[in-house]
Amino acid sequence: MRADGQSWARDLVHPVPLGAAAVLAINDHALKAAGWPSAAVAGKLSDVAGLFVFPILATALSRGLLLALGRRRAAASAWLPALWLAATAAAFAALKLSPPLNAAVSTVWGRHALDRTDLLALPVLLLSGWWLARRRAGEGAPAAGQAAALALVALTCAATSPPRYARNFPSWEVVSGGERSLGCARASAWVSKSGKTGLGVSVRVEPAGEESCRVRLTGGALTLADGRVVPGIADGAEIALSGCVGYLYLPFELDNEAAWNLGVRSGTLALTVEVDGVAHTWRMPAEHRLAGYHVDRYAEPAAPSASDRGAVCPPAGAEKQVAE
Amino acid sequence: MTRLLLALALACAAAGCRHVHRDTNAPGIIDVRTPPRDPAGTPRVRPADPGERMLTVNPGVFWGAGPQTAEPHGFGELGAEVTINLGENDRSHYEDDFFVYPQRGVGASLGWSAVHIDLAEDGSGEARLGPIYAEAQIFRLPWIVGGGLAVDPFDGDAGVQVFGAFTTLYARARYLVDGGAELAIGIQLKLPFVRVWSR
Repeated sequence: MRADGQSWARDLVHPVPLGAAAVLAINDHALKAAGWPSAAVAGKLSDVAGLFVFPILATALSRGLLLALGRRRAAASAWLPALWLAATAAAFAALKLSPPLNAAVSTVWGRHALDRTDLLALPVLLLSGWWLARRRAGEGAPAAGQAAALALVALTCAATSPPRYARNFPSWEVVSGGERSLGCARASAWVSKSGKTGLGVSVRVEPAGEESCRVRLTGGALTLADGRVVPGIADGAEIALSGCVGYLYLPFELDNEAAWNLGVRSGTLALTVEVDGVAHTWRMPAEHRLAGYHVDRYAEPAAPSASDRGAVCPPAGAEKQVAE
Repeated sequence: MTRLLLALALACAAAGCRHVHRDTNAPGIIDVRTPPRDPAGTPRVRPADPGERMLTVNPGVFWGAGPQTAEPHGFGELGAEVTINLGENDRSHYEDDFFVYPQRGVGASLGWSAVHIDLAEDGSGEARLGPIYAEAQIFRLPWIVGGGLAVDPFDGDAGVQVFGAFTTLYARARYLVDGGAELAIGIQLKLPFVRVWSR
């Protein structure tokens, strides 16, 4: 199909719009997910590339439709790209400014940021218009090339960023008393694993003063709200604290899924910690919570920096092995 | 086909077809015995995904046409059906997925081939009310197969039917004791309302 001797998808078959579509695809499906160079920059890059290529795609598609309907004059009209440029600007502005419209579009076409600063990308439509005007005098392209270009660009525009709201899982959490001084050591405890088959408590210990300190997690129990007592499974590992921090772990095996389904979602954690031979019992209330059905994959908490972690003590057993 | 899918998507969005969550079986899969690999860098270990189950209610309409043994030997049909499915997915859905629907499962349908039009060779047609039916079905998308019983509530004629579908395209063969056999091929459009919970 040709309008005034020129092919209907001619504006797309060129490295410039195809490059813009490639930028859109790479940005939406790789850079955004990686958060590189930053979420804001990645978002703006998508807006710029999308605003450039969308009017070109829409013009090509509508020109093809008009030719199929036998409207050759309308297909060749200079008003066609102008119409799409104006429509794109209006739709983009409405999408970025209107919360109800943004919510409705996001429901059926993936999430779009409701951010008025994205309107700064609108001037790129002038570039798109210039491109469309310039290319009107250009040569046609082979039919296969047009079809391939059209399919690629349409797919790129239709496919938004990969899904970001992944399923969330409930987790046991220490409600209070998660930090405590235990003789020569300071300790903090939290639930590091929680799932269908139980939970696991991690304990970070560090020396309270200059002197070295030996710490061992000898046992514990989880008393559920319905009265059941689940013993912890201690491995007896010992840590020698000397200018370093150590991590201990105590798992509790139970049918956590059944407890969740029955509504048994609270209890008391009791840890028995032996510090330089003195046993301390450490109790803290805990709850099994689900903080929403989904979690934003782009907003995962950052890992603590190396300086926050501190030097990790080797297990006391390792010291013994070296000594032997 | 593209228009059909677009129309379905728009109808779906307009009708607000959506999914709701239950928190049953919500905990994920963990190896509780093994200590976290990096308790300093990753304080909380994210559980593995157990997948999810879904209960769907799909009301919809269908229309089709095909041959029949009774005179005249062509007919068209228009009807309505509601299907209830119980299915599951190995991977839990993303909240911003376009469709949330089970990939495999079983279900049951209750439908009515409400308008049965006998199509004569000269192009004229005579409409009458068709049978109601109940079907059991099994599906692994995009394929659906099923079968069940059909009864004409007006003259008491009864029989059996089998059903197969590829997404929105369906074929249904039906045999009624007095009415004879027929085969309809057509399009079904349904709106999914989904209740989802963890496996």
